[in-house]
Amino acid sequence: MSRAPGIIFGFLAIVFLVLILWSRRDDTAVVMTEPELTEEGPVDLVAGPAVADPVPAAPDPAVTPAPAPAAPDAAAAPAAVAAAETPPPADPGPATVVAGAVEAPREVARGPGLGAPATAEEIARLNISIPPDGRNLPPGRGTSAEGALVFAQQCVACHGSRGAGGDGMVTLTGGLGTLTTERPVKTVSSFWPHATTLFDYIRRAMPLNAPQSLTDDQVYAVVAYLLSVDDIIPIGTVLDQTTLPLVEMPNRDGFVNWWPEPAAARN
Amino acid sequence: MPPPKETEFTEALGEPVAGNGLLHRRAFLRGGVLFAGAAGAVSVAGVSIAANPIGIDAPPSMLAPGRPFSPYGSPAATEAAVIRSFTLNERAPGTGSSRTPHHLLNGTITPNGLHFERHHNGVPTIDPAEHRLYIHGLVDRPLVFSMDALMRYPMESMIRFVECAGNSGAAATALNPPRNTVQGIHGLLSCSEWTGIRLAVLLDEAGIQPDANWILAEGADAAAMSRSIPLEKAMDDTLLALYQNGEAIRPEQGYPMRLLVPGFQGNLNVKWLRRIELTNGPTHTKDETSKYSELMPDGTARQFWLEHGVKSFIARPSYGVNLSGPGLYEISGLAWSGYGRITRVEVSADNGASWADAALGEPIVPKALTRFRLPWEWSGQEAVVMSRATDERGNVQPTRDVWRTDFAPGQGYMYNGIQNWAVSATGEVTNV
Ligand code: HEC
Repeated sequence: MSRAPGIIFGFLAIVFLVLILWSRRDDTAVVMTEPELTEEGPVDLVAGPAVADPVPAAPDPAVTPAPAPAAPDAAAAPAAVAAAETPPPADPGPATVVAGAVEAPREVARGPGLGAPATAEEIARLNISIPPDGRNLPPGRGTSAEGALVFAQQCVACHGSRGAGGDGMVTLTGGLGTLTTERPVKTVSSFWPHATTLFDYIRRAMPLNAPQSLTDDQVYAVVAYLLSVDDIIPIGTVLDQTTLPLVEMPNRDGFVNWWPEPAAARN
Repeated sequence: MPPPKETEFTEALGEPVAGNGLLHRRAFLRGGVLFAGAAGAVSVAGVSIAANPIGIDAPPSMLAPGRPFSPYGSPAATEAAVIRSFTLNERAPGTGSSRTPHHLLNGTITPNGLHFERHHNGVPTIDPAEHRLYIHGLVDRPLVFSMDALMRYPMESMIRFVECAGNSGAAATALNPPRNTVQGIHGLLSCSEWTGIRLAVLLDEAGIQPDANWILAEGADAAAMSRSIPLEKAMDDTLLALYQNGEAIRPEQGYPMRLLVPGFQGNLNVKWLRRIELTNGPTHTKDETSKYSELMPDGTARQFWLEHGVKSFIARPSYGVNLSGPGLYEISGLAWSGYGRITRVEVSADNGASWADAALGEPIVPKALTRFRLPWEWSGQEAVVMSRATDERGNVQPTRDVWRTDFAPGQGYMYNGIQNWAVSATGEVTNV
């Protein structure tokens, strides 16, 4: 018996919210027809806000099975209307509602489940991503001396001597110490935080005219060459699965993660 | 207060609501503005009139049957100038971008053939029958999907903008505001109705493991474009898009499938999508370290700055879209925000001294382009016009100077500063 007031209150709250949603839907409908001047009352002639009332806060999922916050946009509008029309459940006990809200925070349809199993070998053959820990680096090795040859044959035409760019070419080297100056120069040497990214990118995308044409040894070598131009690694260093992730890039601490966006930056 | 009488409205609406001739946003309705006669009149001379036996004037188009049907329509021949603009990079023709001519368009939806392009090594040719989408990494069941399989999934449609992180960069970086059109400055922005499958449906099917918190998306193009996306976003409103404005996505937009990551940097909307890997932490690809990160004055860089800030520009008038004489004009432009809906756009015609609210085109869709309009009685004097947008989170578009204080010199990603246009006494519009 002691739950009765709670149940009644919960029921009333839901009816109330449904009514609010319903009336908001009507508001939208009015706005979408030809605007009627007289319905607005006196017009604020000195730059009154175009949208007077703030956007409604998302309904508290703990008290009502209202449509998802994203619902009242054009694409999802029918869903919102349908939800508003649905009568409240017969027994809207608080526990039931909360559980429902927690279990279904978003309304995502279920698919027919037609994905076919992908085998580990299949994945291994197509996964070319190399994160900073070096996981997924392939076997192989290379030195800057070997890489200088690759660079001279396959890269210099588009990146200039020693990767220094010029004449509209993409610059790969130089620029160290410029990031806080009036003319920051962002290059692999001065800016990139991870050597693994260099390997990943060259292996997947360079040379531009023949991507994925280099052997893994050639990629290790040309990475070693580029990193040796500004003495990030000493000449003679062998780069491989083990040594590449250990390379310390000059700007490795130069990035500030903006996801999720720092609260202080939100205005 | 009783509602004012009709006549009061009529008189009031004709009066400026902000400096230098800005009229109330509803002034075009209900005859609120008495047109300025001769000054506002547009000549109609030159219409060619043909004769017919019944002596009625008629244009030639009424005197002979028109051409028959066509399998796929194209714009009128006289609209041939409404095209994307681009400069060819001779050394690397597949890299670079082409831009949407917003100064020549109206409404909010970008025609598919005019959607901006940004490619990192050209547009691939992909046979949908051969194409596969893999989902693997921190999942219970690595899966592979064919197009046939995906076509049987429940789909939904959403109108959303896509904007390159580098859009408007020239306005941020140039020492002086660039002498360029809206297309040249803000053209890496487009808006479409996208249709496809919620990515969450497919990720759920693969079974997300508890330690997964990012995904890596990769394209099947010659750049093997790859970007990390927060799992939270991937599970929220991210779409595996298959259709754009009703038709299959075009090759330049990722045929047969791309990601739509609403409100986020364009580069995350990976085209020609072939692989999704669930990961713990981001992968730190080239395009989220070397590029699409923003250097701040202290020499550190914002990384994974993903949501586009609130932004707007006036498209009419704008550089090259000149005024033809004093009189009544409609100021019109676009506003959008990666954080949600546009709630307000203010316009100034006196260089920011006073502002008036523009009318917002309905429906106002979150993370989509919103058209704003405001009547303007141009006196024929020099004027500087600009727009300032606000979104539902309360973000207000900053001025160029304020924006620039947050970043190192020469930075231009994610620029959302206010765009000013100067109107000369002859009606010529330039960027200031
Ligand atoms: C045909 C011209 C061409 C050739 C040859 C070429 N590149 Fe590139 N490279 C480019 C272009 C263009 C880009 C920018 C790509 C983009 O827009 O994403 C680039 C980007 C890069 C980058 C990333 C630069 C940055 O700061 O983001 C690296 C590293 C790189 N190339 C290395 C190489 C290496 C190593 C070779 C030789 C194996 C090579 N390139 C051959 C044209 C070329």
